[in-house]
Amino acid sequence: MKKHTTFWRLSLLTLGMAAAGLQHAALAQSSTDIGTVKITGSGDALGNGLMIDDDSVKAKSTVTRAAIEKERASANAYQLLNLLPGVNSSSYDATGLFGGNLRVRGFNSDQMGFTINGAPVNDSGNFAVYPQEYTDSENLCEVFITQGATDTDAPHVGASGGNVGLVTCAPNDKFNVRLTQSLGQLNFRRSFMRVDTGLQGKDIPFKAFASFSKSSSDKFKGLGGADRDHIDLGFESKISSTTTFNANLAYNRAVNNNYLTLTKAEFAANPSLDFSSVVPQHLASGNENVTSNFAYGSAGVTPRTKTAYYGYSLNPFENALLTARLQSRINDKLTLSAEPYFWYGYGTGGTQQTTLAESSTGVHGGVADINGNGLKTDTVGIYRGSVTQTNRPGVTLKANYDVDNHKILAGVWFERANHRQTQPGTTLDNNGGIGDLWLRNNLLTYNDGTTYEGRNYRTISTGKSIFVTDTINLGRLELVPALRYTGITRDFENTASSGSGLGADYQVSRTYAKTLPSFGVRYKIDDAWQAYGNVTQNMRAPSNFVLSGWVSGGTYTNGVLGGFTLKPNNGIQAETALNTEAGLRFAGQEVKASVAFYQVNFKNRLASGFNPETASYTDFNVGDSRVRGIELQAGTTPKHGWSFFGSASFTESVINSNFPVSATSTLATAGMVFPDTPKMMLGASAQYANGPYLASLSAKHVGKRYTTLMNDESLDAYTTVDFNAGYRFASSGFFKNPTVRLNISNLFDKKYLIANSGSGSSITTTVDTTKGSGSGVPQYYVGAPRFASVSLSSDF
Amino acid sequence: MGTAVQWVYQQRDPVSWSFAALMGLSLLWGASQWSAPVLHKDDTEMSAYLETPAAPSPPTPQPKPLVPPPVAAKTVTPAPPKTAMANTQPSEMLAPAAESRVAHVQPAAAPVVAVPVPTSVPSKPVTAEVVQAMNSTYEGKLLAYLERIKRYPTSREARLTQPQGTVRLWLEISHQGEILGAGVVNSSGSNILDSEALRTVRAGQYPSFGEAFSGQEKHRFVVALKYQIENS
Repeated sequence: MKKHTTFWRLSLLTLGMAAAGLQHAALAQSSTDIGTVKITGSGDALGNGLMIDDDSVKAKSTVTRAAIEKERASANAYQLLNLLPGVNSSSYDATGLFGGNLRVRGFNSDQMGFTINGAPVNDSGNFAVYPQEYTDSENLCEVFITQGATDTDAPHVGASGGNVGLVTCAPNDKFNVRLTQSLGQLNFRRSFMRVDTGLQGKDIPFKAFASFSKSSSDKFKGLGGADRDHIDLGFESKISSTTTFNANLAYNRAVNNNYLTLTKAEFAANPSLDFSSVVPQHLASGNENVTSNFAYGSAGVTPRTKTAYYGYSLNPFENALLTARLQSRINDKLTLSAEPYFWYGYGTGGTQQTTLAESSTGVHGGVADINGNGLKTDTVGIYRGSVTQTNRPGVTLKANYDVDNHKILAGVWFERANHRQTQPGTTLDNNGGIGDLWLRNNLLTYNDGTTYEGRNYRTISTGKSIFVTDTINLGRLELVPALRYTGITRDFENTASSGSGLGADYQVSRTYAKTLPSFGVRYKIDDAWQAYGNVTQNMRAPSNFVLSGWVSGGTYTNGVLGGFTLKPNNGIQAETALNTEAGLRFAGQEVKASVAFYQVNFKNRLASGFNPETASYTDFNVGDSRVRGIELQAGTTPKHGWSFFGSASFTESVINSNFPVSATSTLATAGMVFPDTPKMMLGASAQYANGPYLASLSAKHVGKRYTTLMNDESLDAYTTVDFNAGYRFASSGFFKNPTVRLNISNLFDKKYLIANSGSGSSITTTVDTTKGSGSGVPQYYVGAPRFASVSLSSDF
Repeated sequence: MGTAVQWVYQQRDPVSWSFAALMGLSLLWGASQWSAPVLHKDDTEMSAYLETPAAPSPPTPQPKPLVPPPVAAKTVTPAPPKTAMANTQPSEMLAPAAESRVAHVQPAAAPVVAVPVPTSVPSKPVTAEVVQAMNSTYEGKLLAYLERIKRYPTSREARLTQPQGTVRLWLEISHQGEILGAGVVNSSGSNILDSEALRTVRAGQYPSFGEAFSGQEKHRFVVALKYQIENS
């Protein structure tokens, strides 16, 4: 290795001398070395870490390490993005362990593409995002968001509304051990440990880290809590002077109890209303139904009299994400990279408490005797959940070619997600015991011995895209034409199960593909001002569940359905969005600011509703719609320790067409505002950092939001204020940089409600329940009350 | 007592709002306090040098004011195609050049006289010290200017891969402050950083030399741009 280097050096020197001789005439004058300019990519120049100097042709915001490290260590990505322009995010609790909602410019999180180190993490079936599963915040270096224009080179088929990227920190160059212990209200406990190897190896230098965290917290209302174990591993190696390899593994295993969502009336009557604390008891007769004491047990809470037992409303999930990048610089023009990844996920969610009727007819001969009393006529209380298991390998191959004033990025993305969705059941006892809360063992069966399933699908989703972007630098002017062809083929296979419309085996395949052009331009007015604009076409394929439930009619003979027909659900098409943006950026020495104007025109807008109690989704085609708005952000560089950041978002959304509720009637939704899309949002942060002291106060205001398509129910505006403080002690003995931090969320204990959609628009059509499917009284998550925690950390 | 507490509690919305408003106002105040770019300070220093008794009065042209010129007036020279100079070969040749600010570092392999030969001679004799002072002032200005326009690349690719490294560039500036060309002397090892560095210097609007470099038509500078990511 060493010899090779010397050889190359010598030959380069010879070549260099030859070149110098040739160029001598041109070098009539001498060169003056003026020194070194240092550029940091972490955005520390703006003290709060909520903004960086941006140069792109699209609206984009970035949260860097400087901001992430000030937040509570358990914070999830949604919480970290909260203050950015255009972002309407909320967390189901203050710790971030239970998940949350994210909406940007009226787009929901499942309409945005999420990546970790470049690998997509949206659910391969319905594009749902579960932020609490991802990287520990201590290992997170950056979260960036493009509010509207999806990156051409991003691996998404479900991103009609921009994308979010999480980037983990590289391992440290020096050996280091870090321990962090957090304690807080509601028995919040979090222990974190990270070990960095430092730079090792002579010929092939490498560095690595491993971290482990264990977190738990109680719910702020009702019984139950969350437990989360997380492992992150990172590795980076310089294989040769031109080739680098790095890899990351994130493993997460968590179980949490759900929060009960409430109607406004319920919230007014009892904001602490939650799932029941009473274990449902099996009836001696063996025959249990929803009105008996099995199903519900909450003691007469007004106005709801029935809620499930909290211990039977769980979210157990386990996932692992392996990402790698092999990058090689071929010459001074060409760089090639390969980025393979593998995602594994298994889990269930929603409320699992239900009853199931034994039977001697039906699919697979009916449900076998559950309670073992020898009869096939009982209806028995069981634990049943929608289980999803995903094995998802993929790869992105890229070539970066720099020639003259062109920077060309071309590549392909390919993935094959094997997505199995089942709904098995298991038994419950009278003490709250569950056969297997993960629904892997002790499963109920049919009379023919096969496993009982409320649904049983396998979807092979093959996603691919081919993209090319050219960044043309014409001095002050920069042009960025780009083209992306992206598509997904869903090969859906239904195996006969007990679910409605699922009684027979069938297979169906659908392909959704589009060519998506975009054009961006940036003009540098002077050293401080720049203008930019872009027109970007985005698309989102429908979820895989539009391919389910097609079986209609028929009769069972020996457990097999005959004489049925398949009724395809063809109304749902890929949603396309044309995003047009223009903006101005100002980068002064002390103040940096930007303003963005945008308009998004949707075609065949998909809206999906999510029911947390059944954990099921429905897609609606809500026709065409339009969103437009203005976003501002500004930040200051630290002066006497002080730095400030502010953002403002003004959004106007309009549904253009009426919503069909049946074959013959429509709802007059034209002209209505899209749900959960406030007209105004404000974010602000003031920070003081001086020597060992650090304090920051941040506020977020979210305006009034409608929660039905007919705009006949709304949620009030709210403002929450968070306070973070820290002090770094002098290093002594074994302890290096020991630091204590205090984090208080919702300082003024503001009471508010959050639109209910774990993912998907909250798509209650109207509160008028006579209007058929999709109507009803919306239920909401309750905003987390004030919550304080402290953490101690030290390096060793 | 209880009612007082309740009253305070009921005021929580106005309190939250006041904080938000206060921060908004602070932000506006911060913006209004925005001060002129650093470069003007250098201008002042420059004038101070020129006013020293030993220095001859500067001939025209006067140092160009550093206010960015009108957009239309400026024609940016198209980037020259990368010549051999832009490749890595001369890097070894130029490697001995110190990282620190050293005026008139000669490329080791280029047999040129130690002091640059002025292409035009000022009307009055100038002492070597004054030339040196004026030159280093210009270099300081240039460095300060690059500090101002420097930027870490913001493309998705750059944010995902977070490359680090030092690019050494040459850039040739005319007496009037026009950029005549630029190229890579030493690559950072990352093409993303190399092209970002070139993009940065090519888009620059530089001051004129004034008296520096004894009124040369053009001058070639070498600068190192060190890109780094600071993590925890």
